[in-house]
Amino acid sequence: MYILKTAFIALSIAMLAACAATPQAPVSLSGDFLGDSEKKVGVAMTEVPELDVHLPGAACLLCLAVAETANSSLSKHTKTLTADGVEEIKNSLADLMNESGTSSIVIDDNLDIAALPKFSSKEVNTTKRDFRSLKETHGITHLLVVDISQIGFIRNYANYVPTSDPKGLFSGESYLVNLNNNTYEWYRPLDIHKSVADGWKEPPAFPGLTNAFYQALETGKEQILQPFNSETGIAVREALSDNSAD
Amino acid sequence: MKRMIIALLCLTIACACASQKPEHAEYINQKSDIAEPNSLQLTYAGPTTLAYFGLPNYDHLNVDGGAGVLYPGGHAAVFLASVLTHAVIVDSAKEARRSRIQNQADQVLAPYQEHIDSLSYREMMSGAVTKLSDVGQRFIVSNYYDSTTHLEGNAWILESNPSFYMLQDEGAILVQNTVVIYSDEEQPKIIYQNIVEVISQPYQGDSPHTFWTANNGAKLKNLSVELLADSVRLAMDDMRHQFSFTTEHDQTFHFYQEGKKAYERGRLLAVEADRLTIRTLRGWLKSVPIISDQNPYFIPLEDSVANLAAVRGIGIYY
Repeated sequence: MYILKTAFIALSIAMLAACAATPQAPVSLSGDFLGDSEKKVGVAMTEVPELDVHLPGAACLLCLAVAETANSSLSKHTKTLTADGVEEIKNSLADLMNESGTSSIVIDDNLDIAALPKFSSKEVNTTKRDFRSLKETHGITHLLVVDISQIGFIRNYANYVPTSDPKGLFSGESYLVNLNNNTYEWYRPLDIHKSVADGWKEPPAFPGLTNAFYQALETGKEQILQPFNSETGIAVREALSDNSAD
Repeated sequence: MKRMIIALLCLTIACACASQKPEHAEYINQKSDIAEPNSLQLTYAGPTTLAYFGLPNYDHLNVDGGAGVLYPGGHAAVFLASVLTHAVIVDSAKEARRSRIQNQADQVLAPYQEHIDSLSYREMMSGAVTKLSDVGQRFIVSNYYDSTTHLEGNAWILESNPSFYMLQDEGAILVQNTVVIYSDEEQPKIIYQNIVEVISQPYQGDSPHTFWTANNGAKLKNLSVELLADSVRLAMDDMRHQFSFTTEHDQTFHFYQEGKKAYERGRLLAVEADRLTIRTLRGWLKSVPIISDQNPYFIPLEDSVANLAAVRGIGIYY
């Protein structure tokens, strides 16, 4: 009996440990990646989700109904907004890549990551899906993926009670995959929240929150593009040095 | 079940009723058909201690609200009371957290407190008036509660309530000035009301403390006065309808703040040598410093501002 109990506990722990997925840590882009003419990068995006008001923590059905009703005017306003420039991110990335000397192409079709075969490896910084088939399909060595999972607004809840004010939201991940071995050569999680400092309850146009949404959107775009913009860092430093507080 | 539904309905209504407008001045401009007098009484209604803060960031303000909390059931009223109690506790925690963030942000002022304490509203307003000679008005500074200062004729009153913020990198100062202009009549009429925000050019040296505190804090004081004067000047220009939109739709403008890109959605009103003036989505005026940006995804404006934008290197996202 004792052995059975021990085996059961050990099995449960093993199963729980297996279920607990470790989040992928950020991976920096190698300094010599840009400008390498041997590489050819395909730039792809997953389908951009519709703008929405996300209410994590309103866990039960009734909680969610109450939360959605309480935020209905914001939800209605969200439908009037557009995610300016998001679809153009892959073109901007391809342009940056080409300007750096690394050849790139834009993959027009939305990437369906869930449709790719699962992949597992004992190596660190490897993908959970097998992207290698895209190497032959598109004639590329690397795939740069922009995967936006949530865009719009977020308001945290604890059951029926909001624990935060609504904030502008841009979340997802962006990464560069080596198609020889499915390893990340760059990985950037995106979880951008932008608040309104001085009151957000301004229905029906919600100007403060609308501004926060566009701040989150532009910050997200900047975080995706910045590592591939070899000039940004230098340009900013030079520009700032030309401006004194005088 | 019926009682539970009624309780949830009450809860939803309570949440919806909580959606009130924030308490800040709405944009009003009724100047068009009213002649402007030759004098303005510049008043300050605030306390004698200048409102000077560290600029807070509430992006990560979120409290642990007890996601696993269990509400007592059985009776709808008990359930409703327990949810409302939960809401009150969470709101209180949120306010405490908000206050803590502001207190932490205010720490940036510690090295400058001695100089800030020496600033007064009257001194700031008097200093600002000397820089407003180009506005075409005779300004007289007075405390709102000081009945000894009165102008002859139908002078207007310009009430200025500035709050100053030092950015967390100690590189710049921001003023947020609530400006209300009204006629000095028995029943004063608001002619203009708005909030004007002006951010200084960033200091890029290695020692902000030395920069701001040199000559007994002269730079800190002078820049604060300049920002205040700029905010009053912008309000006057706006009241006189001297701005017109240079673009037909809202855009997201970018500038640098605390060494990072910052963004504001609105419409471009003016481009000066080193700054942009924007009408924000709330109707406020915001004047931000601009710097050259060689970013390849920058898109210059295609209309009359295009040449200026190209020269100044203004990046504007559509």
